[in-house]
Amino acid sequence: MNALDERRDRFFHAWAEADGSFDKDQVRNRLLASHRAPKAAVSRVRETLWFAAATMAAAAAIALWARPSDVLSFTTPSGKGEVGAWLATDRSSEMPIAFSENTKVTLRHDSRGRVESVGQKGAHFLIEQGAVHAEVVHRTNTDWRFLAGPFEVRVTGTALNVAWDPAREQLSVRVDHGSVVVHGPYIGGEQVVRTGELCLVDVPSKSMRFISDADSETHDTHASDAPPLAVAADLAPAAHVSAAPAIDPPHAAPTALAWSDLEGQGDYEGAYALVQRAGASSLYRVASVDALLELAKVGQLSGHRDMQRDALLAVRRRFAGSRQAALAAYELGRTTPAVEAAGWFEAYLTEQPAGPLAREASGRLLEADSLAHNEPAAREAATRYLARYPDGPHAALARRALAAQNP
Amino acid sequence: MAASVTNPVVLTPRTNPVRLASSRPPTPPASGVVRALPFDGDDEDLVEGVIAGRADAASALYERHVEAIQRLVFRLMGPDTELEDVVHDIFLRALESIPRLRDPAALRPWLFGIAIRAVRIRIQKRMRQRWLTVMPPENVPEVATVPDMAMAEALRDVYGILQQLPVDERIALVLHRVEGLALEEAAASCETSLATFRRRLARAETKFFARAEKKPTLATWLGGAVQ
Repeated sequence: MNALDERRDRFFHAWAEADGSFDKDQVRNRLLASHRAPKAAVSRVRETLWFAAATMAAAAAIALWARPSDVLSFTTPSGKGEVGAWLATDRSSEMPIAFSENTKVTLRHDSRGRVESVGQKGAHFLIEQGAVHAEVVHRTNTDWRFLAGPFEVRVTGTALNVAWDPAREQLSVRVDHGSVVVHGPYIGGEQVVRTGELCLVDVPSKSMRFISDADSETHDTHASDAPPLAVAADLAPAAHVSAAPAIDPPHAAPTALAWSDLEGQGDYEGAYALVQRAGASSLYRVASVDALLELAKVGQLSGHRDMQRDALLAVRRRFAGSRQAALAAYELGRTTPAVEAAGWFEAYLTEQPAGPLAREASGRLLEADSLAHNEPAAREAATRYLARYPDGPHAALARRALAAQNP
Repeated sequence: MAASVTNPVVLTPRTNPVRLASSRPPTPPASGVVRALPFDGDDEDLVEGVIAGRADAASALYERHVEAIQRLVFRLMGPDTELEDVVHDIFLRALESIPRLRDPAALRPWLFGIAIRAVRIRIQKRMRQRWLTVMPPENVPEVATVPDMAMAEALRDVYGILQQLPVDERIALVLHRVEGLALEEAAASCETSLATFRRRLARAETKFFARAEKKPTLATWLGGAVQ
């Protein structure tokens, strides 16, 4: 064997070592469910009993989950708080709001807001104007959010101050302890703010200032154009805000472009990392439909199915009625558990009854209904499938599904 | 931009697919994860068990062979969003047609044959369908796990070249050179004669190496230049 042959052999050996992302459990579950579709009468009885037991267990779990006592409650100086009711303070007063899991929110002077919703793991607090100080208790999967104009501040356990001036369209987030993630426009997508840091966003000038207590360092996306930020005055200490020098933006537009460059080169892990750094949530809100589909692809091929799902949901939400939205429904069906998948395949078929994926979606719908043990729906799907595709690849499964009802 | 309070429902939207299919019958809860049951016995026992309708045999067949099949499919198709679908379809077809398997001891080659047919159909179908974009070679995805970065870049170009080869030549190259199947075994998996397989392989190698030499990432591995 000469040197060239040896090199080629080494290359093919290295090629053989490469591997791809593969969800073995998901394929197994789908496979075994599809394979089990033809059933003997005895196994059908056993399965019916199992299903009844599973249904009862699920109902009990849902009842347990939905117990009112598990959802946070809160009190104000006036008594028990009401979700959705407006809360307001004047220039001389503040309002403490105590939540049942010990999180404390203080509505600062001259402010107005409301508890938008409460859940088991947190609440969403809408700041219409003014400022709040919050000390959020950290728990597993905490879901505390402060909503201010087009911005969202996600908190996992921290002491922070959030201010929103709707007239000037200025947001300020200062973290005393812990860290938060700010989502919204003009901040490069997503901005993490940590202990001792202040994030100021001015919507009219499309600018952001980022100030750290530790080094008094300011990062400014458009420093020369940005006016002084009035909301910073609400958040002590803010004395050094106006005096802070401007430097290059830490989260400028090129970051958002880079992920698509890497995606185009097939570097999905790298693209995923950049999307996370740039702020996936904001991309879901502003990206084009094609970019969203690319994001979904990045999520899938980098093994981050949550990103794939979120991007596809964004397509559904923002481009409803489009061909791409139907395609997103199909992709969601392919990647979600059977119970949910059936709905997505139905959605595709409703929106694109003669689309290029109609036959496959019809078969997948039948698979999903069989997998979910939704036999009435499976029979209906089987009937529809055979009417349209009597020789299609799922025809055998369809016939078995129909035969199963008349053993 | 007007000063307004954004509706938080818009900030945290979730589309509910159930709404999109309101006419559907109520859907019961998910059936949970199906776990593989222990199965003692060789491939012949597995085949007998599947034919007899033993659920543990079907699960065991999947567990025993999925890694080899998944790797084969990956080597043939490269990084692909449909990898899981293809593997699923291969095993479903195998489970449904296993009563027709003449030699149960030859289960693995028989599965390879099904896999190769499935991949061939998938690639040919993809070439015909306009709605699926055929990526230019420079945009072929990177693989998930590779020995090193240089190899990752090389493999990206490899799959770009493979896309340009006729599907049967592509399969021949991968089966023999990458999968390491002997010529006879590879020919049998492709359901073709040894002579035909040799011709396909020769054409594939000629085209592949010629194109690889033009790729900087591959030239030092596969080209005539000495490193």
